[in-house]
Amino acid sequence: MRSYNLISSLFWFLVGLGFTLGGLHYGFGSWKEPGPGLLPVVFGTLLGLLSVMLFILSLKGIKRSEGKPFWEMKGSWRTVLSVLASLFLYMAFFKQLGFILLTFLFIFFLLRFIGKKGWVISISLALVISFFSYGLFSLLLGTPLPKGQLYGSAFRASARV
Amino acid sequence: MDPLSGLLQGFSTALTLNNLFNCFLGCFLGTLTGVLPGFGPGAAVALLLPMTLYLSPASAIIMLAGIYYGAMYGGSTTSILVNIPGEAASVVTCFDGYKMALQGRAGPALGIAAFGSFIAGTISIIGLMFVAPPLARFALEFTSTEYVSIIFFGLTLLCFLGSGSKIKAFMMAAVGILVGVVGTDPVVSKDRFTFGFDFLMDGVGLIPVVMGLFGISEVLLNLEKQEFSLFVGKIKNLFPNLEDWKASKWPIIRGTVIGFFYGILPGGNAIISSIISYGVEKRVSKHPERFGQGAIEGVAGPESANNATATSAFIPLLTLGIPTNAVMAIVLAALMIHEVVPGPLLITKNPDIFWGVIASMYVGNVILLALNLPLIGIWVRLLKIPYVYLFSSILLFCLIGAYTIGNLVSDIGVMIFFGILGFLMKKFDYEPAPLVLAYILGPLFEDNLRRSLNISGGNFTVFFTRPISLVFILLGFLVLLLPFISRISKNLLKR
Repeated sequence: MRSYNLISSLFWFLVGLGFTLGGLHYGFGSWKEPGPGLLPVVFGTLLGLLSVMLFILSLKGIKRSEGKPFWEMKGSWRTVLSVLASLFLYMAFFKQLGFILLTFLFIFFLLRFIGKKGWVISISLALVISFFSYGLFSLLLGTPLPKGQLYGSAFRASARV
Repeated sequence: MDPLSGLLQGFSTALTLNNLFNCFLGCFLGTLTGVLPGFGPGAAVALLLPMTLYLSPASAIIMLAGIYYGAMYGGSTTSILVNIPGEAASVVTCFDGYKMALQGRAGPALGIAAFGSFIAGTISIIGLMFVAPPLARFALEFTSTEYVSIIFFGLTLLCFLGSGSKIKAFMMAAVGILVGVVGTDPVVSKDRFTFGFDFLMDGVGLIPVVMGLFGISEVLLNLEKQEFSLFVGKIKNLFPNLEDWKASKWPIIRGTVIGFFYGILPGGNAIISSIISYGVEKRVSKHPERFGQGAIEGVAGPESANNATATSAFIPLLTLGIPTNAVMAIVLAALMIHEVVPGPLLITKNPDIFWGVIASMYVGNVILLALNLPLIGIWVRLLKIPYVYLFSSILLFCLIGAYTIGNLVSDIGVMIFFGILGFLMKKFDYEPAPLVLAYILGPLFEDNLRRSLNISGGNFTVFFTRPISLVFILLGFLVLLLPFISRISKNLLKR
């Protein structure tokens, strides 16, 4: 199956082209006084040329890529995509939900639904990990982790008292 | 400063309670990294980088170095016991180490791996101690022209030494340089490829890139794999007998020499040096047919080589400020976070860092010998932890780590982006190493290139008229042409 190399070389060709055009836009400058576009043009073009080379070699069948299926196991795409989704959600709600609650939900999800652990062990471990990591990073190391909009105000209120 | 008094001063840094702890922590985490499959030193060093913000620069490097050479010790354990390399530099150890374990000789295999690592590590530190200072003095005369040539040579060699397709390696190096271009132009302060995002103005952050490419993508890839079942028999006789020593003596020494020189080369990494050492041992052996059937030389050589490499890789970083592999690139970042500029002046300006790190390596090798031989049972038990606990903690650590660097949620996004990219690259057979290194060296390359062109008035001949620069340029082109030369010579021989 050659399609792996063909698809990826097309992708990198477009990336190279994009950087080359961008570099020309920013200004190549002269050899005497190189501008901000020098590197993007040179290496964007290089990337583009190499992609074309890879494309041609793969088309001729000289450069083979392994003919394995994209997903290693049947249905493994579901696991990978759900973990990815949980990462994106973690980022999206980082400021809103606050570190402890969010981390609890995140770890709970991974243990219960990806790792297929029991409810009790998933909940208790998620509790321990979220509080422990908050204690380690925020209290011990002084990293300002977000408390969340909900209890951020509650914390501030209690601090005032 | 002569090496001896330097070393004495170094020990006064390394033997403080604080730094002993940092060294121990680094070695401990390194061994853990080495033992756990699917989690390499690159990811570990990246994960721990945010923690070093709270340490002095010397302590930070002591810890990060410990992780790197510690991982080389730990990597052999799983190779020998379960036939799964704990990290990539121990792949070849599987060939004979696992066979030895099947024959009931797991003990001597683990033992010779640890002792070989110890001997190679220690000799390599001595080499580092004597080679680095003169090299740094020599490098003082380097101008931006020489740096351009050295980086050019380094990048070509890196692509050439890589394991997969050469075209793809060069493509990834180009991508790396282009990623490094993103951000505000250093000379005329113009935003490049930021697409209006404020967080890209300072460039794409190193930590999110490395954590994404080595941490997140590894987890995503491993999610697809079935959990391996672990079978470990009783391990006895960790001390190799006299015969084992006789067979391993020269492999250890050869492995050390090979590993040491590969570490200095740009792009030379522990994976390659261990493979080369295995090949050399097989070639010089009187009974090459024994290799793959449980030959102790096949464990002793490569395990020594990867440790020697992990130590000597510090030479180009500490003397020229040029990292030769991804781990060294992160160590470079750690130095820069603390506003220490690695380069020819480091040894004279920050002797506490240079000699402190060297002294800590002697200490670390002793710690690792203790961690790996008597405590081997603990590490083996660790392997029985289900992967879900491991990857959950890795992901959480990555998320927190990426955020703590600049308290930016956008860095988490960059990390996830590079995690997906790394995942896809692996699926499409592209290596991440050239990308990372080119991305690190890119800004350095651009800065020096533009400066030397500026000085020479746009005249490219400066790269060829200055002798040191010429040597590196020629070497670089030689590396580029090597595949063609070998093909032509093969054709000529056929006739």
